[in-house]
Amino acid sequence: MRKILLVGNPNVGKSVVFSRLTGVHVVASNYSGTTVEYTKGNLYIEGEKTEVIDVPGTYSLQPESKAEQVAADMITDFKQEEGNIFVNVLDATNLERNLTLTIELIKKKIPLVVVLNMWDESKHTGIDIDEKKLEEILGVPVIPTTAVTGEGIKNLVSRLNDAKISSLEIGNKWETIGKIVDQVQSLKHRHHTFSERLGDASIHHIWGIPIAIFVLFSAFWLIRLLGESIIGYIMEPLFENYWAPVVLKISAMMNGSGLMHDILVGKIIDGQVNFVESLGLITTGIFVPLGMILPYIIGFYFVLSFLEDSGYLPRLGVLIDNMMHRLGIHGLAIVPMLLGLGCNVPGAMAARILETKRERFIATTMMAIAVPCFAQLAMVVGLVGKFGPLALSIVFGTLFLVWVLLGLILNKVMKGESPEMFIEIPPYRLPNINILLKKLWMRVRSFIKEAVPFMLLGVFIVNILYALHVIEFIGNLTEPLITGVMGLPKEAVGAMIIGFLRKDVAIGMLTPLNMTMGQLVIASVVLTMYFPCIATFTVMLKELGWKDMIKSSLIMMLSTVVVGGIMNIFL
Amino acid sequence: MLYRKKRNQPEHQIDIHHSNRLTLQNLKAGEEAEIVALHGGPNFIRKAESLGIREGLKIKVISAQILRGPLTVQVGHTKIAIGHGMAYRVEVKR
Repeated sequence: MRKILLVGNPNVGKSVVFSRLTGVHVVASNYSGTTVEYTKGNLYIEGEKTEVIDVPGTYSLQPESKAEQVAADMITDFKQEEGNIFVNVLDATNLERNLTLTIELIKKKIPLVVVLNMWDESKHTGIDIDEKKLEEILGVPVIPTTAVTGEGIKNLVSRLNDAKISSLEIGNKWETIGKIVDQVQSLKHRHHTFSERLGDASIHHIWGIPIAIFVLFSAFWLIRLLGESIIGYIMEPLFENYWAPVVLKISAMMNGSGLMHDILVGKIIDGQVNFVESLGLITTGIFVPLGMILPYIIGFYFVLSFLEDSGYLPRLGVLIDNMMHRLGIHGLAIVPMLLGLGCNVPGAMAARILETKRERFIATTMMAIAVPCFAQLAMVVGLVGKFGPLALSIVFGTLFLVWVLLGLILNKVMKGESPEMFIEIPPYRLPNINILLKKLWMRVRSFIKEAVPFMLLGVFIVNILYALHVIEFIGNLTEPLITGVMGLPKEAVGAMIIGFLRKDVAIGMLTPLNMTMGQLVIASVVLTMYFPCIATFTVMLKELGWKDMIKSSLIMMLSTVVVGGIMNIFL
Repeated sequence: MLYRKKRNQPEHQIDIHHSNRLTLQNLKAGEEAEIVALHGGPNFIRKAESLGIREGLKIKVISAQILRGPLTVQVGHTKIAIGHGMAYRVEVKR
């Protein structure tokens, strides 16, 4: 099959062009390196099926990071096959810089189509590009597009078959680019816009800090507001008024007891359904993911997606770069950390935007140990929250402290140094609501698709393990460590076993154990730290390799025992 | 700090910030200058050039973070965050 490769600098909108061409939705954001792995989709050109591939962004064909390596390798590989087309997506507001890659592609003698994306924005910023002239000079089709609105995409599709190998003579790269830009681009003088002033203020060494605090505070306030509203107005009424009577009927039909009844419905206490504690498949098994976690996931991803698309995250990275360097990573590592707060799996993937193996190891290990995913976080808030804000502050304060100390130690112990920040800062953009909602839907859907079955499986396995007394057995075995060092009841080991499947279910399993506030706080921290869930483990293994994964795992277990032990002394 | 660690680098690169050369790092927020030369290894130069930082172009400092934090600069329509140590390697003239 013929293939079309979308290549270009980071953050020029390749993924949006890709979605427009194929109808396959991929996550796009307003910062470099959202796409760290290629994505494929199909496009029919005059009836012929063609495969479109969204390649991670790269500034040049000599790669700097792992994501850029993916791009460079793919271009070399696909160049060999006859009939493949390369679509070079350019940011029209940055013509000169973007042409560097175009010139490198032209030198490779490959069939090329050039797309000038962000056409509307270039007009607004007073940049006028003569696309006809550019087409004449380069000798390949040049198509202006605004992928976010879909403008120009039809024209692009109709001209894909016109892809040509450019015969442009290139002497000195910079002279060539300079000449091209002089001939095709004219700039109008204009005043600073409000968003530019705001943009500059948000990276100011003084004003930037209150702005960052305000943004993060508002972000968490909004997540909580969204989450609590969805729970209070939609989920709880739905479960209490409509689902509970159904559950009670099913329970009555099964005579209210027996193994099957316990697995399906769980324990009915005083004729009431307790969705959190009954631990049945159709009670806790579906209430936890849909009634307790999903609302917060929606809130979290809405806010995160907004921040991503606005262009604020790299600026936050610049502000905290200094601090982060002491932890062995640079400011942009805030991206994998924030993504990890949603789910550790994309967080571990996003660590690819960091340049060195050392940084990726430190960032991934820090995230796996001290950053709870939002599903787990929602459960902790639900269970520990009833002891008041102090208990919650101890949990999250401890995790933050562990995160910092771990970074400091790893940075001291590991050989090498972390490279300095050297990244492009995207312009501020008002997020496009359609793209934002699509992205939110994709992320929420992947939570429902991946989390719900695993949670049901988790609840199912818990019941089986209890019935077979396996948890009791392992509990007795590990009692010296769990009870002796960390002060937890030995039954808590059941949660740690299930935690490998789903951390949120594991937290839920602590409820019936009637633990004290101190124990619940310790258990919440320990369950975050001791080991990643299987999904995260798999991705980390792939990203880090066996050797580093073993190292990382040992660090996790050791630090869990140390932290759990210390907390047990104080609480 | 950064240069002391990299002992394997050629002498002329280590001494940049001891010389009288004006570098990006010497500029204050709001100042504009012309890039005269990039000092560093081929990786640094390639990365800088691909981001649009190269000889002969005008560069403006937008902000500089305290305690040797990164600088934010603008070249053309591109804004770039560049580490303190790397900013030493960009020689400029006012």
